[in-house]
Amino acid sequence: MEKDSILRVFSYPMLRKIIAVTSVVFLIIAVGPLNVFASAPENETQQASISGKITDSTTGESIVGANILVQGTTKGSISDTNGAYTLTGVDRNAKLVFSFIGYVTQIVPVSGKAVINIALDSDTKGLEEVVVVGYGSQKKQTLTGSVASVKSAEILSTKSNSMAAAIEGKIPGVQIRQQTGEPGTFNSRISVRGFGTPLLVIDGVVRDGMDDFERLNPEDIESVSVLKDAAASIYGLGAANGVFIVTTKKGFAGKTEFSFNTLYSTKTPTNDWANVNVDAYTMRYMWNEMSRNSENFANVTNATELAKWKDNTLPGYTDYNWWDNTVRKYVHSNEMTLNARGGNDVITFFSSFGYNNDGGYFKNNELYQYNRYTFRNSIDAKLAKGLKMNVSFYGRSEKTINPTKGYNQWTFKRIITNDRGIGPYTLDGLNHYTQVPSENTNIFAELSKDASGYIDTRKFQYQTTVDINYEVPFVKGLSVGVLGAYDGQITDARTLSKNFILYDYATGTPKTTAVAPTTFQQQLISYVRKEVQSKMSYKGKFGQHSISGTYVFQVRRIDNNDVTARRQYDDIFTTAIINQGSLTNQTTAGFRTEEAYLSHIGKLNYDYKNKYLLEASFRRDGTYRYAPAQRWGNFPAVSAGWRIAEEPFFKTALPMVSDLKLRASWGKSGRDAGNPFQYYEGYGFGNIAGGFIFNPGTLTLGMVPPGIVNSNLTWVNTTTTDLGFDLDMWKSKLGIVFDVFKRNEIGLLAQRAAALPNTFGASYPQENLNNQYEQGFDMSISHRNTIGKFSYGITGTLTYSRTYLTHVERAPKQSTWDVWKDGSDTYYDKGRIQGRAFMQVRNGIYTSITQTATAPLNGGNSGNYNVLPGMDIIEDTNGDGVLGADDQMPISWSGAGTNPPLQFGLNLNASYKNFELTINMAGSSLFTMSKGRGDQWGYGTQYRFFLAEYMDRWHTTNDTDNPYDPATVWTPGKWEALTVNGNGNQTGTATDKWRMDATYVRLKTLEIAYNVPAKYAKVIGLKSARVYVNGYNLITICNPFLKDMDPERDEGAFGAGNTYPLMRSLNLGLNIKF
Amino acid sequence: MRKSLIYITVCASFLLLGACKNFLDLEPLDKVSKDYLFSTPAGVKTVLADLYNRMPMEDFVFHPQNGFNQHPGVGGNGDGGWSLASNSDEAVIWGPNGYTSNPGTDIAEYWDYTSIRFVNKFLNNLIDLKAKGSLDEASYNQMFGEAHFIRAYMYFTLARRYGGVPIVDQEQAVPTDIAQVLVPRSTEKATWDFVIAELDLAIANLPAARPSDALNRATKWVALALKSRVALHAASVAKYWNKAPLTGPAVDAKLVGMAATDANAYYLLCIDASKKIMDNTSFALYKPAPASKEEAAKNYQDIFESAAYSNPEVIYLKSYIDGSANSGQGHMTDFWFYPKQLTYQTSYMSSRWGTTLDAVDVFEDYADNGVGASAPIKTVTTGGEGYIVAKAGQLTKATIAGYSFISYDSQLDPFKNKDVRLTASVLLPGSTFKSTLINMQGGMIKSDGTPVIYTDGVATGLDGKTYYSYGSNNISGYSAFGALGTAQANYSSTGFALRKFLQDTKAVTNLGSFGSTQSWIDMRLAEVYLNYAEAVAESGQGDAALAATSLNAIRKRAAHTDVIPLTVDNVLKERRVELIFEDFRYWDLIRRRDFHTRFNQTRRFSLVPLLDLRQNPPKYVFLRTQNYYDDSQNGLTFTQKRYYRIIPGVSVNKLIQNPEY
Repeated sequence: MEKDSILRVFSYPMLRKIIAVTSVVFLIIAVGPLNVFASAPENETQQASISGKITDSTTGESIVGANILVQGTTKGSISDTNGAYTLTGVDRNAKLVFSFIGYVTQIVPVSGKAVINIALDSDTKGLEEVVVVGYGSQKKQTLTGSVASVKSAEILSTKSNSMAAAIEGKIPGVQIRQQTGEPGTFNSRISVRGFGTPLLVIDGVVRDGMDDFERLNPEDIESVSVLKDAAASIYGLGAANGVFIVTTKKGFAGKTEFSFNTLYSTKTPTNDWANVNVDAYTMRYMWNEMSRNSENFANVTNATELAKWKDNTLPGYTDYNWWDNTVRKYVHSNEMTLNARGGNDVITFFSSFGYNNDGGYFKNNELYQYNRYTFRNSIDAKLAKGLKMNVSFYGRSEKTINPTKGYNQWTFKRIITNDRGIGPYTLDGLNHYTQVPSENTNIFAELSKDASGYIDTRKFQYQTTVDINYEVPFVKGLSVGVLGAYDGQITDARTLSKNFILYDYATGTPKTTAVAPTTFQQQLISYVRKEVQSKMSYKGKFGQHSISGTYVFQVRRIDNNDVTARRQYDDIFTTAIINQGSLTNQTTAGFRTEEAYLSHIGKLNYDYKNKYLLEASFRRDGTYRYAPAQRWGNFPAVSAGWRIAEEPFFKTALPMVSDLKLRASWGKSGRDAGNPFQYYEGYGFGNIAGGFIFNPGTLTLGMVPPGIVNSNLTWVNTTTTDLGFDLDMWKSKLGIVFDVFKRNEIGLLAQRAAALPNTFGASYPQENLNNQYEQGFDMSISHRNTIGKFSYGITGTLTYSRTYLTHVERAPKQSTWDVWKDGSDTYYDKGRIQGRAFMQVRNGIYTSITQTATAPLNGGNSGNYNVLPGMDIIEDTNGDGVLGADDQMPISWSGAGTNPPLQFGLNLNASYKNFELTINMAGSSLFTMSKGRGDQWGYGTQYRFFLAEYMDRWHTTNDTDNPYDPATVWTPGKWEALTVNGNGNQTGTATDKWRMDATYVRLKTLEIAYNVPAKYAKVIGLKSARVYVNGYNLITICNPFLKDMDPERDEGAFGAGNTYPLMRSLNLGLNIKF
Repeated sequence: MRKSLIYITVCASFLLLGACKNFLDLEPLDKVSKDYLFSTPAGVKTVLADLYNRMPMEDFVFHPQNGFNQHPGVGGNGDGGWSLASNSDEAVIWGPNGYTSNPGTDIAEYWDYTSIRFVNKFLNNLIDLKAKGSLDEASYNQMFGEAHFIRAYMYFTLARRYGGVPIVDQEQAVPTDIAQVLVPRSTEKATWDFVIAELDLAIANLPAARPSDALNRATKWVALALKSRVALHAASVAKYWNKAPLTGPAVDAKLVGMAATDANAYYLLCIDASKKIMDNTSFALYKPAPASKEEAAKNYQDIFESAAYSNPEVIYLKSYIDGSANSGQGHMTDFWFYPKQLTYQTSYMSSRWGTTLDAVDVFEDYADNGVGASAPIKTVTTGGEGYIVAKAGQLTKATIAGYSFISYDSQLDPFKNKDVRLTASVLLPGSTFKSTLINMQGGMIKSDGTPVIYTDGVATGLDGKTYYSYGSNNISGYSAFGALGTAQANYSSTGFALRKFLQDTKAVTNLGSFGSTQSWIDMRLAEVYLNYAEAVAESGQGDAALAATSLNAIRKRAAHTDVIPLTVDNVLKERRVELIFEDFRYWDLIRRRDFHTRFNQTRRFSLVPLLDLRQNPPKYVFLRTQNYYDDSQNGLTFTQKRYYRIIPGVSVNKLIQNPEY
């Protein structure tokens, strides 16, 4: 009766209303009605007031702001600054629900009591944690697979608009490296144990992968679980690289709580480029020196001219600092999120709205801009007894504006290597854009929307899910359900390409006469993904035996569309609407693809006395991609655990061990490989060039016959084996999780090495030929303690993973050197280990020109050329008198092309009274980074001198001396003499001097927060308030020579490190709840 | 409600299971099944379009270095306007990439067994469709004939490059062991016989009339014209193989080379095939009896400028559509070969073509004498035209004084009485093209007798006026000899340019964007006449009188009035004149084994018009000189082994390699 009455009040019109809460505007409007219901007239059997105090069960401190709710009603209260509460008019038979975030909720019957004091247990104990796993969730203590997870609070301790950055270094076995700080570019390398890009599941449905993951609003996320071993196998064909499971926040029963977070960031690049763009005079001075050192070069700038440059006052001879005039000192960005959670025991909701703006690094701030809006609504409703429904909607809208010309690495390269003797505008007063060496363009023009246009990319993504579960009444523990998801994304990329004329700086004459017409292109990409899951699960306990099982049938379908249209503007650019352009030279392009998948998923868990744990799962996946005979795959997995600490003998022998679980798992999964439909014997659409004109004036497009039809192609099979243990001692004072793993990959795609003769007319298609495996370990060690009012926790994580090639299809090796270098199966015993780089071996440096006469020849038969003091003495390891690639030895590590083999993190949280401190560090090792000489350093090309380093170079003491005269006196330095990179000198040689160890440790986050005491917060009507300062990417410890590169960032083309810099940010944030 | 929900949940599962039976059977959206494609005539046409496009035709989009169908973006004329003519003694091409090279060295390979596989597959498809009854007899025969015609074209292209090649006439199945698909080379003779047999199948099955809706599909006559060309090539190789014999395993196995005794049989095949076409009255020379030289010149130029089937001389042509509107189509002949004076504004690339003085000298004049002798350009009054200046740019006052130059009033004067086909094929100094007077001046002789050649210079003439060594003080004012040897050398290096295929009277839209659309005449009656004449003259078979008539008919069309006798030399000279720049010269030198003697440290020649300021008013004198580029390469040489190209991929296909590779 009571329920009915509430349902009446709160019934379907209200439900509809809440479902309609899809924007924060509505949400704010909705506050009024909710509050009205909260104070609805009381018309039931009443009783005198109840009061009490709420405390923390371990510290005994009072809890401020805890929720007290009369179950089944909206009536409730909140504990005050002393943890005290009072409720009036509560039914004597009612139950009170006590809850507070971070604590285990308790339900206590009133039973006529007038005072109810409650001690809430903190739910960060870990062992009681529930972890979301594939197709279900499980208590952490009964997990048998290697599953790591990170919760909301830990995620939020790092302030970045990328989810990847927010979890970096926090999860053992997860390797993350940021590659760029470019606004709107989310391309961090994310890998589980070095396996490759993992699968992303959000709220039970496979979504869009790491790109999607990185763009999530961290404020919306409840937890992220990472399935690292056989636990991932339940995702079958997509699970070879592990699985990220994201669970978003849901509503809770209680008075509506609003939370508002705002963050303002000031950013500077992590690397220091300020001294890179060398001034006009010094560049010419060094260029002269380089010419002298390179024999056949004459002095480029004569003494008279050089003096003018040094003087720096004559028009046309002044220095123009490109760097300072192009980039900002500080970049600004801001974020805010407003969310609301609440509900009663029938309907709960979570609504969130987020905004993020990431500003550009350039003075012309119109470009390199990023804006993101996210909103998420989740509503849980109990529709009837045992029947529950969740409806959720997620929307994301993004906009980036980038320049059409000179994408980031070129942009930076141009700024760095611009000749500072040339200004941006012509000297003739007409202010035309100048042509600036060495790139012979003008960065001002390239970064100007008016001069060169822009690429305006908008993305709108939505994900909707409806999940209905029904607990079948006649069989206890049995439930059935249906989940439907409908997701989509629309990308709208608008490219305006304008062209401009460059002029000679001094004379003002145009360098080109004609300007290509302005074009406008619009590309629309959309996809729609539909998924339906039919679920059935059972959970039962028979004495000491617990059994649970799940069966899911899943259907998935994806449609992709891509259309591009382009027109040119003949006279004047009007607006960015395709119709406004001219019909001349208009082009269109487009394609569509479709995908379909079917899966049967089964899972069985068994435990005896919570001590002996067993899990078996099975998945059968069908994919559209392969021939009918090849398209179904079976992916079984089994894992077991033994909570040995629960054994009486163990408890007696080692009482300090609170928990110890031994785990083992084995599972099979797969990875889609190769282009779809290779089995299909179909004619392909030829391009225009493939057509024929049968009748003058009319082109008939040709249909191209298929090559070899490949019906044997199938997915890559992977098997993962994992052994590990979870240890907890002295009640969380020491926790260790350790896993060793090995993943086998069978059937990677390759073409047969034995080629078909060229008279056959076709070549072998790709087949599942290659094999490799990854092997390593990951671990975390944690310590938690509370001393009086000071509590802290520290966790270290470490991952080590290497790849070994066991079979690579390749042509027979021609020499024993080849066999040793990259062909042998005996190299490093088992398989060919990846990650080592072959380089020339250095052995000191030349200190005089005479030494080079007897040195081994670097230029082969052409001899040594321009070998000068300061250059490395390269070892002729094979003793043939000539230096070459066959003298290289595996002396160092490869670049971070994939994730480095060793990655680690350290997290520290501490709180004292109202203050909190968070420190998060992350780092990598066993990889190298190159500083390309030719393209950026002064060796090889003019315009490029890193001033600070070159002040310390070998040079002739007297700058007019002949460097090749043995009598010339040299001033030694750290770096070699400047020369043009030539065939016969060492300037172009790969050594570990130029590709150096890039091991780094980085202070990712340092946060100091202050929680405003509740009594003050209450004064201004807030439940709680938290202010904090947060620093991101603050300190990096690495080889100092890499400081202008940033070892975490993508190395970039030519090893030049010219990519968009990562940002160091200083954030000021506020988090209020009301 | 509860019950219905349970029902929905459970049934949804099973319904989905049932409905999903064919759920995974998607069809690729970017491919079309053979059955669908061949079910309609339009579909078949698309398959044919691909095969026709694969036909290795040496047309406007053939790039000798990069291969066939080099459309925009993949080389083609986009790579500097290279042509087979420049690999012979017809033209010199120079661009920033330095294209001058020994003839035969950087000709692209053609080893397109992929296309051959597609033709084989097509034949299988046809048989399959016929068996199903979905093709009528006429369509089947036509397409059957077309497939054999295209395959003949492909094997002809292989045979004249490689000699004997593996004959793969079935679509091979994917082998379990590579040995199953290894096909050895056939002998050169067997290969030529295969091409002839393919053409015979084509001739027997192709329709006689051009389909009105698809003029560029092959007909019986097109196949016959190709047979005439093929048989003449095979006959010549047999007859002249011994002029440049090779040795080695490939010769021992007769994979290259044929016996001289085989020649006459091939000549006869050429005679028969040619005769059939000549007997067909629907073919005729275009305007065979001009009233004047001027009319003859226009007629000859029209053949190429307005190439179309309405011209009864045209047997087969390839059409183009504007590539500026259909990216991937069109050609750039006008773009590359317009004289510098017309294209300097659009781009710095132009005028890459320099017709050699060697080619110009071959043309007759109209002092018709019944002999048909060539009439070399006259430059000096004494000592004859045998002199050649080695390096024009290094001439001194003294050497200049030693020449008894003929003085001309204009740059065009020396060419006044030459065969009209010269003015229609070659852009001559002082001629007018697109209303622009084409200036090819390469230097001047100052009034004191000092020469200024191949370099910018200013001087005063005896008349007191100022003159420039290139005839202009502006780079847009001249079309030859500028910036020799540099990346900006977009000028003729010979004093002549190309006119034959250029659009003179018609405007070209989008000159730089593959906007040229004039058709390439692949086969025309004049060639058939000349093939016939050569085969008769070489073998003594066939109708000698008819051969002589045919030879003279071609000359008559060019306004010659005398009749010359049928000799091999006369036929060959006529080929060089009538078929100039149509990609015949290169193959004539190959098939007749004349290349290695023609190119032996050979410098092709240029004609440099000089303004002689010693005279008042100044006059033009002309200098015969070695071409600057050929000279800077120390001459060009054709090595004997180049009569056959290197066989690619022998380590896998296990074929016997050609001699000396």
